[in-house]
Amino acid sequence: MPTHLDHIEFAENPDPRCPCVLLLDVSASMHGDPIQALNEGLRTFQREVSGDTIAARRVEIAIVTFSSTARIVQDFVTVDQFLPPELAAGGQTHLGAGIEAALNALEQRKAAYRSSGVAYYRPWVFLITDGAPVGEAEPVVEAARERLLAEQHAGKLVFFAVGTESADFQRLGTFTLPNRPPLQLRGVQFVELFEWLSKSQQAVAQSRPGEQVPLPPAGWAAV
Amino acid sequence: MWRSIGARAKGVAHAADGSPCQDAFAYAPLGPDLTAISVADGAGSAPFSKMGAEIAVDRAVRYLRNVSDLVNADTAVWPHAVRCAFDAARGSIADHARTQGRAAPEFATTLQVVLLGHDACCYGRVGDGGGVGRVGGALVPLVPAPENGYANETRFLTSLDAEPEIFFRADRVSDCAVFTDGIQHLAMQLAQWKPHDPFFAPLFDFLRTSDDTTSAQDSLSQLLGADRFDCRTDDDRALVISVWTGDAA
Repeated sequence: MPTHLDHIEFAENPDPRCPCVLLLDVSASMHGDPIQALNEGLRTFQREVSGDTIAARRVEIAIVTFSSTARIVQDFVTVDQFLPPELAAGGQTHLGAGIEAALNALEQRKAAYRSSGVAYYRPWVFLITDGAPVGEAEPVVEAARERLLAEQHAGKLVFFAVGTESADFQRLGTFTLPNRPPLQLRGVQFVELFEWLSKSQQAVAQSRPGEQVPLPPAGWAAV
Repeated sequence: MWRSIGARAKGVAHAADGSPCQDAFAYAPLGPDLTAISVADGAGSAPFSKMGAEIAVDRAVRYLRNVSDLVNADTAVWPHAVRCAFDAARGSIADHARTQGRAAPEFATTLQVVLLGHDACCYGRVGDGGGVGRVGGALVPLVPAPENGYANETRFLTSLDAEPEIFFRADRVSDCAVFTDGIQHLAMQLAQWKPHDPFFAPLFDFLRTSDDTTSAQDSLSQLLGADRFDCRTDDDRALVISVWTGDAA
Protein backbone atom coordinates (compact mmCIF):
# COMPACT_ATOMS: atom_id res chain seq x y z
CA MET A 1 0.00 0.00 0.00
CA PRO A 2 1.28 3.48 -0.77
CA THR A 3 2.35 5.55 2.20
CA HIS A 4 -0.36 7.95 3.19
CA LEU A 5 0.31 11.52 2.13
CA ASP A 6 -1.34 12.76 5.33
CA HIS A 7 1.95 11.96 7.06
CA ILE A 8 3.62 14.97 5.51
CA GLU A 9 4.80 17.52 8.05
CA PHE A 10 5.60 21.14 7.35
CA ALA A 11 8.76 22.97 8.32
CA GLU A 12 8.23 25.62 11.00
CA ASN A 13 9.72 28.85 9.74
CA PRO A 14 9.26 32.32 11.18
CA ASP A 15 7.14 34.86 9.30
CA PRO A 16 8.98 37.12 6.89
CA ARG A 17 9.56 40.58 8.40
CA CYS A 18 8.94 44.10 7.16
CA PRO A 19 11.47 46.31 8.93
CA CYS A 20 10.55 49.97 9.24
CA VAL A 21 12.69 52.60 10.99
CA LEU A 22 10.95 55.76 12.14
CA LEU A 23 13.58 58.49 12.19
CA LEU A 24 11.99 61.24 14.24
CA ASP A 25 13.03 64.82 14.85
CA VAL A 26 12.56 65.66 18.55
CA SER A 27 14.45 68.96 18.51
CA ALA A 28 13.24 71.94 20.58
CA SER A 29 11.12 73.31 17.74
CA MET A 30 8.91 70.19 17.93
CA HIS A 31 7.88 71.20 21.46
CA GLY A 32 4.16 71.58 22.19
CA ASP A 33 1.49 70.56 19.69
CA PRO A 34 3.83 68.91 17.16
CA ILE A 35 5.38 66.43 19.61
CA GLN A 36 1.99 65.63 21.13
CA ALA A 37 0.56 65.02 17.67
CA LEU A 38 3.55 62.84 16.83
CA ASN A 39 3.00 60.76 19.98
CA GLU A 40 -0.65 60.40 19.10
CA GLY A 41 0.42 59.31 15.60
CA LEU A 42 2.61 56.55 17.04
CA ARG A 43 -0.29 55.26 19.11
CA THR A 44 -2.48 55.28 16.00
CA PHE A 45 0.13 53.30 14.07
CA GLN A 46 0.36 50.68 16.82
CA ARG A 47 -3.44 50.38 17.03
CA GLU A 48 -3.99 50.13 13.27
CA VAL A 49 -1.29 47.57 12.55
CA SER A 50 -2.19 45.49 15.61
CA GLY A 51 -5.67 45.07 14.20
CA ASP A 52 -4.20 43.16 11.27
CA THR A 53 -2.92 39.85 12.64
CA ILE A 54 -0.59 39.07 9.75
CA ALA A 55 0.90 42.56 9.61
CA ALA A 56 1.27 42.66 13.41
CA ARG A 57 3.52 39.59 13.24
CA ARG A 58 5.47 40.80 10.21
CA VAL A 59 5.94 44.56 10.53
CA GLU A 60 8.91 45.37 12.75
CA ILE A 61 9.24 48.89 13.97
CA ALA A 62 12.30 50.70 15.33
CA ILE A 63 12.33 54.31 16.50
CA VAL A 64 15.43 56.49 16.26
CA THR A 65 15.08 60.03 17.54
CA PHE A 66 17.47 62.89 16.96
CA SER A 67 17.95 66.22 18.70
CA SER A 68 21.39 67.14 20.11
CA THR A 69 22.10 63.39 20.01
CA ALA A 70 20.69 60.41 18.18
CA ARG A 71 19.00 57.76 20.28
CA ILE A 72 17.45 54.36 19.60
CA VAL A 73 14.28 54.79 21.61
CA GLN A 74 12.86 51.51 20.38
CA ASP A 75 14.93 48.72 18.84
CA PHE A 76 13.22 46.52 16.25
CA VAL A 77 10.13 44.84 17.58
CA THR A 78 7.11 43.31 15.87
CA VAL A 79 4.07 45.52 16.20
CA ASP A 80 2.24 42.99 18.38
CA GLN A 81 5.01 43.65 20.98
CA PHE A 82 5.31 47.40 20.42
CA LEU A 83 4.44 49.89 23.16
CA PRO A 84 4.46 53.43 21.74
CA PRO A 85 6.86 55.67 23.69
CA GLU A 86 6.03 59.15 24.95
CA LEU A 87 8.56 61.36 23.16
CA ALA A 88 9.65 64.75 24.53
CA ALA A 89 11.16 67.60 22.49
CA GLY A 90 14.32 69.64 23.17
CA GLY A 91 17.77 70.36 21.72
CA GLN A 92 19.26 70.84 18.27
CA THR A 93 18.68 68.96 15.02
CA HIS A 94 21.46 66.40 14.50
CA LEU A 95 19.97 64.79 11.42
CA GLY A 96 23.31 63.33 10.31
CA ALA A 97 23.75 61.41 13.55
CA GLY A 98 20.14 60.27 13.32
CA ILE A 99 20.62 58.90 9.82
CA GLU A 100 23.81 57.05 10.80
CA ALA A 101 22.09 55.51 13.83
CA ALA A 102 19.08 54.44 11.74
CA LEU A 103 21.22 52.86 9.02
CA ASN A 104 23.41 51.08 11.59
CA ALA A 105 20.36 49.69 13.37
CA LEU A 106 19.02 48.46 10.05
CA GLU A 107 22.31 46.78 9.12
CA GLN A 108 22.36 44.95 12.45
CA ARG A 109 18.78 43.83 12.06
CA LYS A 110 19.34 42.54 8.55
CA ALA A 111 22.40 40.60 9.75
CA ALA A 112 20.22 39.04 12.47
CA TYR A 113 17.55 38.10 9.91
CA ARG A 114 20.14 36.52 7.68
CA SER A 115 21.82 34.54 10.42
CA SER A 116 18.50 33.14 11.60
CA GLY A 117 17.08 32.50 8.14
CA VAL A 118 14.25 35.01 8.43
CA ALA A 119 13.07 36.34 5.06
CA TYR A 120 12.49 40.08 4.90
CA TYR A 121 11.00 42.76 2.72
CA ARG A 122 12.88 45.82 1.50
CA PRO A 123 13.22 48.00 4.61
CA TRP A 124 11.65 51.42 4.95
CA VAL A 125 13.26 54.39 6.64
CA PHE A 126 10.71 57.06 7.40
CA LEU A 127 12.04 60.49 8.39
CA ILE A 128 9.86 63.12 9.99
CA THR A 129 11.41 66.55 10.64
CA ASP A 130 10.33 70.14 11.10
CA GLY A 131 13.56 71.82 10.10
CA ALA A 132 17.02 71.31 8.67
CA PRO A 133 20.27 70.00 10.23
CA VAL A 134 21.37 72.32 13.06
CA GLY A 135 24.38 72.07 15.37
CA GLU A 136 26.31 69.37 13.52
CA ALA A 137 29.58 69.83 11.60
CA GLU A 138 28.78 69.98 7.89
CA PRO A 139 31.05 67.01 6.97
CA VAL A 140 29.11 64.83 9.42
CA VAL A 141 25.80 65.69 7.76
CA GLU A 142 27.34 65.30 4.33
CA ALA A 143 28.77 61.85 5.08
CA ALA A 144 25.39 60.67 6.40
CA ARG A 145 23.61 62.11 3.37
CA GLU A 146 25.97 60.35 0.97
CA ARG A 147 25.60 57.04 2.78
CA LEU A 148 21.82 57.34 2.72
CA LEU A 149 21.77 58.17 -0.99
CA ALA A 150 24.15 55.30 -1.79
CA GLU A 151 21.96 52.84 0.10
CA GLN A 152 18.86 54.10 -1.69
CA HIS A 153 20.62 53.76 -5.06
CA ALA A 154 21.71 50.23 -4.18
CA GLY A 155 18.11 49.33 -3.37
CA LYS A 156 19.00 48.57 0.25
CA LEU A 157 16.07 50.55 1.57
CA VAL A 158 13.17 52.79 0.64
CA PHE A 159 13.52 56.25 2.15
CA PHE A 160 10.62 58.59 2.78
CA ALA A 161 11.18 62.13 4.03
CA VAL A 162 8.28 64.05 5.51
CA GLY A 163 8.62 67.63 6.66
CA THR A 164 6.23 69.86 8.53
CA GLU A 165 5.49 73.29 7.08
CA SER A 166 8.57 74.84 8.70
CA ALA A 167 10.98 72.26 7.20
CA ASP A 168 13.65 73.25 4.68
CA PHE A 169 12.38 71.28 1.67
CA GLN A 170 15.18 72.31 -0.60
CA ARG A 171 17.72 70.87 1.84
CA LEU A 172 15.55 67.83 2.56
CA GLY A 173 15.33 67.10 -1.16
CA THR A 174 19.09 66.54 -1.26
CA PHE A 175 18.62 63.44 0.93
CA THR A 176 16.07 61.73 -1.32
CA LEU A 177 16.07 60.16 -4.77
CA PRO A 178 14.39 62.26 -7.47
CA ASN A 179 11.54 59.74 -7.81
CA ARG A 180 10.61 60.05 -4.13
CA PRO A 181 10.86 63.74 -3.21
CA PRO A 182 10.13 64.92 0.35
CA LEU A 183 6.48 65.34 1.24
CA GLN A 184 5.03 68.19 3.23
CA LEU A 185 2.78 67.29 6.12
CA ARG A 186 -0.39 69.33 6.17
CA GLY A 187 -0.59 71.08 9.55
CA VAL A 188 0.12 68.56 12.30
CA GLN A 189 -1.75 65.68 10.67
CA PHE A 190 0.47 63.07 12.24
CA VAL A 191 -2.46 60.77 12.92
CA GLU A 192 -3.42 60.74 9.23
CA LEU A 193 0.24 60.23 8.33
CA PHE A 194 0.54 57.20 10.59
CA GLU A 195 -2.77 55.78 9.39
CA TRP A 196 -1.27 55.94 5.89
CA LEU A 197 1.97 54.36 7.07
CA SER A 198 0.14 51.50 8.76
CA LYS A 199 -1.97 50.80 5.66
CA SER A 200 1.14 50.87 3.49
CA GLN A 201 3.04 48.50 5.76
CA GLN A 202 0.05 46.15 5.92
CA ALA A 203 0.01 46.04 2.12
CA VAL A 204 3.74 45.33 1.92
CA ALA A 205 3.55 42.65 4.64
CA GLN A 206 1.08 40.60 2.59
CA SER A 207 2.59 41.06 -0.83
CA ARG A 208 4.06 38.20 -2.83
CA PRO A 209 6.93 38.13 -5.31
CA GLY A 210 6.26 40.06 -8.48
CA GLU A 211 3.49 42.14 -7.05
CA GLN A 212 3.73 45.86 -7.19
CA VAL A 213 2.48 47.24 -3.93
CA PRO A 214 0.30 50.25 -4.63
CA LEU A 215 0.57 52.66 -1.73
CA PRO A 216 -2.60 54.37 -0.56
CA PRO A 217 -3.00 58.05 -1.47
CA ALA A 218 -1.17 60.31 0.96
CA GLY A 219 -4.11 62.49 2.02
CA TRP A 220 -1.98 64.06 4.77
CA ALA A 221 0.48 65.60 2.30
CA ALA A 222 0.18 69.13 0.95
CA VAL A 223 0.36 69.43 -2.83
CA MET B 1 14.24 4.70 -14.52
CA TRP B 2 12.79 7.84 -13.04
CA ARG B 3 9.16 7.91 -11.97
CA SER B 4 7.80 11.47 -11.82
CA ILE B 5 4.58 13.20 -10.90
CA GLY B 6 3.70 16.86 -10.57
CA ALA B 7 0.83 18.98 -9.35
CA ARG B 8 -0.13 22.58 -8.82
CA ALA B 9 -2.78 24.38 -6.79
CA LYS B 10 -4.17 27.86 -6.58
CA GLY B 11 -3.47 29.78 -3.38
CA VAL B 12 -6.34 31.30 -1.43
CA ALA B 13 -5.16 34.81 -2.32
CA HIS B 14 -5.81 34.08 -5.98
CA ALA B 15 -8.95 32.09 -5.25
CA ALA B 16 -10.26 35.19 -3.45
CA ASP B 17 -9.62 37.64 -6.28
CA GLY B 18 -10.67 35.22 -9.03
CA SER B 19 -7.29 35.10 -10.75
CA PRO B 20 -5.98 31.75 -12.02
CA CYS B 21 -3.14 29.63 -10.63
CA GLN B 22 -0.02 31.19 -12.11
CA ASP B 23 2.33 28.30 -11.31
CA ALA B 24 3.10 25.73 -13.99
CA PHE B 25 5.20 22.60 -14.39
CA ALA B 26 6.27 20.10 -17.03
CA TYR B 27 8.49 17.04 -17.15
CA ALA B 28 9.45 14.37 -19.66
CA PRO B 29 11.73 11.35 -19.76
CA LEU B 30 14.65 11.89 -22.15
CA GLY B 31 16.12 8.41 -21.90
CA PRO B 32 16.30 5.34 -19.67
CA ASP B 33 17.97 7.26 -16.82
CA LEU B 34 17.40 10.89 -17.69
CA THR B 35 14.43 13.18 -17.05
CA ALA B 36 13.83 16.87 -17.73
CA ILE B 37 11.81 18.91 -15.22
CA SER B 38 10.69 22.51 -15.29
CA VAL B 39 8.66 24.56 -12.84
CA ALA B 40 7.59 28.21 -13.14
CA ASP B 41 5.84 30.83 -11.03
CA GLY B 42 4.07 33.57 -12.97
CA ALA B 43 4.37 37.07 -11.52
CA GLY B 44 1.34 38.26 -9.57
CA SER B 45 1.61 41.72 -11.10
CA ALA B 46 1.85 40.62 -14.77
CA PRO B 47 -1.53 40.22 -16.53
CA PHE B 48 -0.57 37.18 -18.64
CA SER B 49 1.86 35.50 -16.28
CA LYS B 50 -0.13 32.25 -16.23
CA MET B 51 0.45 32.01 -19.99
CA GLY B 52 4.10 33.04 -19.53
CA ALA B 53 4.67 30.28 -16.94
CA GLU B 54 3.02 27.65 -19.13
CA ILE B 55 4.94 28.65 -22.25
CA ALA B 56 8.20 28.66 -20.30
CA VAL B 57 7.87 25.18 -18.77
CA ASP B 58 6.69 23.58 -22.01
CA ARG B 59 9.35 25.19 -24.15
CA ALA B 60 12.20 24.40 -21.74
CA VAL B 61 11.31 20.70 -21.62
CA ARG B 62 10.71 20.59 -25.38
CA TYR B 63 14.12 22.13 -25.99
CA LEU B 64 15.83 19.50 -23.86
CA ARG B 65 13.88 16.74 -25.60
CA ASN B 66 15.10 18.08 -28.94
CA VAL B 67 18.72 17.76 -27.80
CA SER B 68 18.22 14.49 -25.91
CA ASP B 69 20.80 12.63 -28.02
CA LEU B 70 23.44 15.14 -27.01
CA VAL B 71 22.56 15.26 -23.31
CA ASN B 72 22.30 11.47 -23.11
CA ALA B 73 25.76 11.14 -24.60
CA ASP B 74 27.71 13.48 -22.33
CA THR B 75 26.94 15.11 -18.97
CA ALA B 76 29.58 17.78 -19.73
CA VAL B 77 27.11 19.57 -22.01
CA TRP B 78 24.34 19.73 -19.41
CA PRO B 79 25.04 23.21 -18.03
CA HIS B 80 25.08 24.59 -21.55
CA ALA B 81 21.95 22.68 -22.53
CA VAL B 82 20.11 23.99 -19.46
CA ARG B 83 21.21 27.54 -20.26
CA CYS B 84 19.92 27.11 -23.82
CA ALA B 85 16.59 25.82 -22.46
CA PHE B 86 16.22 29.15 -20.64
CA ASP B 87 17.01 31.04 -23.84
CA ALA B 88 14.45 28.96 -25.73
CA ALA B 89 11.79 29.62 -23.09
CA ARG B 90 12.56 33.35 -23.07
CA GLY B 91 12.42 33.40 -26.89
CA SER B 92 9.06 31.64 -26.97
CA ILE B 93 7.57 34.13 -24.53
CA ALA B 94 8.92 37.03 -26.61
CA ASP B 95 7.48 35.49 -29.81
CA HIS B 96 4.13 34.89 -28.21
CA ALA B 97 4.04 38.41 -26.76
CA ARG B 98 4.78 39.84 -30.19
CA THR B 99 1.98 37.91 -31.89
CA GLN B 100 -0.39 39.20 -29.21
CA GLY B 101 0.82 42.78 -29.59
CA ARG B 102 2.01 42.71 -25.97
CA ALA B 103 5.28 43.36 -24.16
CA ALA B 104 7.17 40.31 -22.85
CA PRO B 105 7.16 41.58 -19.20
CA GLU B 106 3.36 41.22 -19.25
CA PHE B 107 4.12 37.47 -19.30
CA ALA B 108 6.67 37.69 -16.45
CA THR B 109 7.51 34.40 -14.79
CA THR B 110 10.29 32.70 -12.85
CA LEU B 111 11.68 29.44 -14.24
CA GLN B 112 13.54 26.45 -12.90
CA VAL B 113 14.93 23.79 -15.23
CA VAL B 114 16.48 20.51 -14.12
CA LEU B 115 18.25 17.73 -16.01
CA LEU B 116 18.00 14.77 -13.68
CA GLY B 117 20.22 11.77 -14.34
CA HIS B 118 21.19 8.95 -12.07
CA ASP B 119 24.85 9.95 -11.84
CA ALA B 120 24.54 13.69 -12.33
CA CYS B 121 22.08 16.51 -11.97
CA CYS B 122 22.00 20.00 -13.39
CA TYR B 123 19.73 22.63 -11.85
CA GLY B 124 19.07 26.08 -13.32
CA ARG B 125 16.98 28.96 -11.99
CA VAL B 126 15.88 32.47 -12.77
CA GLY B 127 14.00 33.92 -9.81
CA ASP B 128 12.92 31.97 -6.76
CA GLY B 129 11.76 28.47 -5.86
CA GLY B 130 14.04 25.54 -5.10
CA GLY B 131 15.04 21.96 -5.66
CA VAL B 132 16.27 19.15 -3.42
CA GLY B 133 17.84 15.78 -4.16
CA ARG B 134 18.80 12.69 -2.19
CA VAL B 135 22.54 12.23 -2.48
CA GLY B 136 24.23 9.43 -0.55
CA GLY B 137 21.12 8.88 1.55
CA ALA B 138 20.78 12.52 2.65
CA LEU B 139 18.45 15.14 1.22
CA VAL B 140 20.43 18.16 0.06
CA PRO B 141 19.43 21.41 -1.64
CA LEU B 142 20.32 21.51 -5.34
CA VAL B 143 20.73 25.26 -5.16
CA PRO B 144 22.34 27.50 -2.49
CA ALA B 145 20.22 29.65 -0.21
CA PRO B 146 18.87 32.72 -1.98
CA GLU B 147 21.18 35.67 -1.41
CA ASN B 148 19.83 38.81 0.09
CA GLY B 149 16.57 38.66 -1.79
CA TYR B 150 13.65 40.60 -0.38
CA ALA B 151 10.54 38.61 0.50
CA ASN B 152 8.28 40.16 -2.13
CA GLU B 153 10.81 40.70 -4.90
CA THR B 154 12.41 38.33 -7.36
CA ARG B 155 13.86 38.15 -10.87
CA PHE B 156 11.88 37.12 -13.90
CA LEU B 157 12.78 35.37 -17.14
CA THR B 158 11.53 38.40 -19.04
CA SER B 159 13.85 40.87 -17.23
CA LEU B 160 16.93 42.19 -18.98
CA ASP B 161 19.26 40.79 -16.31
CA ALA B 162 17.73 37.32 -16.37
CA GLU B 163 20.84 35.15 -16.56
CA PRO B 164 20.08 31.77 -14.99
CA GLU B 165 22.07 30.49 -12.03
CA ILE B 166 23.20 26.98 -12.97
CA PHE B 167 24.49 24.28 -10.60
CA PHE B 168 25.88 20.97 -11.82
CA ARG B 169 26.74 18.05 -9.57
CA ALA B 170 28.23 14.70 -10.57
CA ASP B 171 26.63 12.65 -7.79
CA ARG B 172 24.31 9.70 -7.67
CA VAL B 173 20.86 11.15 -7.04
CA SER B 174 17.98 8.91 -6.02
CA ASP B 175 15.07 11.30 -5.27
CA CYS B 176 14.40 14.81 -6.48
CA ALA B 177 11.81 17.52 -5.90
CA VAL B 178 11.47 20.89 -7.60
CA PHE B 179 9.01 23.46 -6.26
CA THR B 180 7.87 27.08 -6.43
CA ASP B 181 8.27 29.57 -3.58
CA GLY B 182 4.71 28.89 -2.36
CA ILE B 183 6.03 25.56 -1.08
CA GLN B 184 9.50 26.67 -0.11
CA HIS B 185 8.82 27.79 3.45
CA LEU B 186 6.87 24.59 4.19
CA ALA B 187 9.49 22.30 2.69
CA MET B 188 12.78 23.93 3.70
CA GLN B 189 14.22 24.84 7.08
CA LEU B 190 15.08 28.31 5.96
CA ALA B 191 17.56 29.17 8.73
CA GLN B 192 19.87 26.31 7.73
CA TRP B 193 18.60 26.12 4.13
CA LYS B 194 18.03 22.44 4.75
CA PRO B 195 15.31 20.26 3.20
CA HIS B 196 12.69 19.39 5.82
CA ASP B 197 12.82 15.57 5.82
CA PRO B 198 9.32 15.01 7.28
CA PHE B 199 7.95 16.96 4.32
CA PHE B 200 9.81 15.13 1.56
CA ALA B 201 10.30 11.58 2.89
CA PRO B 202 6.58 10.64 2.85
CA LEU B 203 6.24 12.12 -0.65
CA PHE B 204 9.11 10.09 -2.05
CA ASP B 205 7.97 6.91 -0.22
CA PHE B 206 4.49 7.43 -1.59
CA LEU B 207 5.68 7.76 -5.17
CA ARG B 208 8.12 4.88 -4.90
CA THR B 209 5.33 2.54 -3.77
CA SER B 210 2.76 3.87 -6.28
CA ASP B 211 2.54 1.75 -9.42
CA ASP B 212 -0.24 3.86 -10.86
CA THR B 213 1.24 7.30 -11.56
CA THR B 214 -2.10 8.72 -12.70
CA SER B 215 -3.72 8.10 -9.36
CA ALA B 216 -0.54 9.21 -7.56
CA GLN B 217 -0.71 12.45 -9.51
CA ASP B 218 -4.35 12.90 -8.42
CA SER B 219 -3.36 12.31 -4.80
CA LEU B 220 -0.61 14.92 -5.06
CA SER B 221 -3.04 17.44 -6.58
CA GLN B 222 -5.47 16.84 -3.73
CA LEU B 223 -2.70 17.25 -1.21
CA LEU B 224 -1.53 20.59 -2.61
CA GLY B 225 -5.09 21.89 -2.68
CA ALA B 226 -5.87 20.70 0.86
CA ASP B 227 -6.83 22.97 3.74
CA ARG B 228 -3.58 22.06 5.49
CA PHE B 229 -1.70 23.92 2.79
CA ASP B 230 -4.17 26.80 2.61
CA CYS B 231 -3.79 27.38 6.34
CA ARG B 232 -0.06 27.85 5.96
CA THR B 233 0.33 29.67 2.66
CA ASP B 234 -1.94 31.85 0.55
CA ASP B 235 0.35 31.61 -2.48
CA ASP B 236 0.06 29.41 -5.58
CA ARG B 237 2.17 26.28 -5.41
CA ALA B 238 3.63 23.76 -7.81
CA LEU B 239 5.73 20.67 -7.12
CA VAL B 240 7.33 17.97 -9.26
CA ILE B 241 8.77 14.89 -7.54
CA SER B 242 10.85 12.13 -9.09
CA VAL B 243 12.15 8.87 -7.61
CA TRP B 244 14.69 6.44 -9.01
CA THR B 245 13.04 3.04 -9.36
CA GLY B 246 16.06 1.05 -10.46
CA ASP B 247 17.70 0.32 -13.77
CA ALA B 248 15.41 -0.47 -16.67
CA ALA B 249 14.93 -4.19 -17.19
